[in-house]
Amino acid sequence: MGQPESPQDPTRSDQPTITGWVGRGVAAAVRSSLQLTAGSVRAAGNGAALVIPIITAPVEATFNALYQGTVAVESVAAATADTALRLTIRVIVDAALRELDLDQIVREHLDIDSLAAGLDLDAIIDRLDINAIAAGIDLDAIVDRLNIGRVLDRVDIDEVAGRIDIDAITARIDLNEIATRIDVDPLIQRADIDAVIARVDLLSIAAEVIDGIDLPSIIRQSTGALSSDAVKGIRSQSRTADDALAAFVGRLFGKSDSDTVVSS
Amino acid sequence: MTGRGVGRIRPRLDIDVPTRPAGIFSRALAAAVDVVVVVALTAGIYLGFVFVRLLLHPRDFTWPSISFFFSATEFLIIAIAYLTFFWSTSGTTVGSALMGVRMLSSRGTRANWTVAFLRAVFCSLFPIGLFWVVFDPRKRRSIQDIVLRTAVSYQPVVRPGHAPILPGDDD
Repeated sequence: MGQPESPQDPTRSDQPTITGWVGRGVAAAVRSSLQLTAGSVRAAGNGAALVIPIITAPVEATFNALYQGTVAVESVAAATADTALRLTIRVIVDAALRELDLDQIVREHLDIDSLAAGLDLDAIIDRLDINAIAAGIDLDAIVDRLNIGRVLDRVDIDEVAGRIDIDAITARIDLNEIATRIDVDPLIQRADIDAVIARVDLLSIAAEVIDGIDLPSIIRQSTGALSSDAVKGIRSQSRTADDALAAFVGRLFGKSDSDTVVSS
Repeated sequence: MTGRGVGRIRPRLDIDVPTRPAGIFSRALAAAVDVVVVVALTAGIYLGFVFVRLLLHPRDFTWPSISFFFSATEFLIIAIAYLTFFWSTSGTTVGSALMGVRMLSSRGTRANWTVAFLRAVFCSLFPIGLFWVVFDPRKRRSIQDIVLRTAVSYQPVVRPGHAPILPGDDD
């Protein structure tokens, strides 16, 4: 016959359940009846022993053996009754649970709100050892189970970026300090400048640059401006010389050139 | 206004702006530039002739005589053709365009082919007639101008969006 108590509940044997009480009650009744019988027999024996002293010893031994038997019977009866009751209760409870809808019963007859109102959550929380719980959590396993892709899909990067104060971050970065730490020489030594140049299509770049510059327009404008200025200078000088010579000749011959303007 | 097609350029010519006759320096410089242009034309014709000759007779090629091409006759012919063409079409040769002067009839219209040709011949054969301008300080006419009733004047300066102004007033 197996032990019905759970091994994780060591107090079970110290605090007998209802079956234990019933078993013990039955055993006590058996023991009482046996003791009563034994007591009666013993009393009868004692009485007989008083009458017949010669048989006192055997009778005493018989009584003791009978008492020991009652004790053994008591223990066996207690265990048997306990086991039987446990089996009976288990069968009855299983049948009852099969018949009853516990969810509905709880839903209809239990006032969960009042229960919740009566809970002292602060006290519960005070009793919780958060550190112990946290120490028991296997974060690696949780992280392995996380679907980072789904989490990232739900994250609004723009919103997050909008909250970041880039200016403050950059203000805290000492770029000069970082730049002084960079050793440029090995970087340059590792760079294959020839390969870079070989990959660059200098001719097409030059063609694009020349196309963008519009060189003919620049040359035209510059030479045009130069030639325009030069021609204007020559014209101005020659006109001045024309007028000076005409004035001189006019004075020489007594003619005036002031009214030399003619209408076309 | 006379002649077909002239009306198209009349607005440029007949701008109601008083013009002044060009003086000796402007006209002499224009003439000097025209001489250079005619020499360049003569050289170009010579080189063209050389290339044509080289193409036709590459084995028997020899340089033609330069003296023939640069003779006075050759120069005069090219000069007369050059002056006639430009005076009759626009009144402005390369030299006069550079100096900002223009040859027109005394009425202010463009000279016709005949006048342009006669003036070209006259100027080519008797270039010294230009210097009569010095002795005519009022109208600044050369002998060719007096004979053929032409005049050489400064071109009015016309700028888009602005009223034409007298040459020299913009300096």
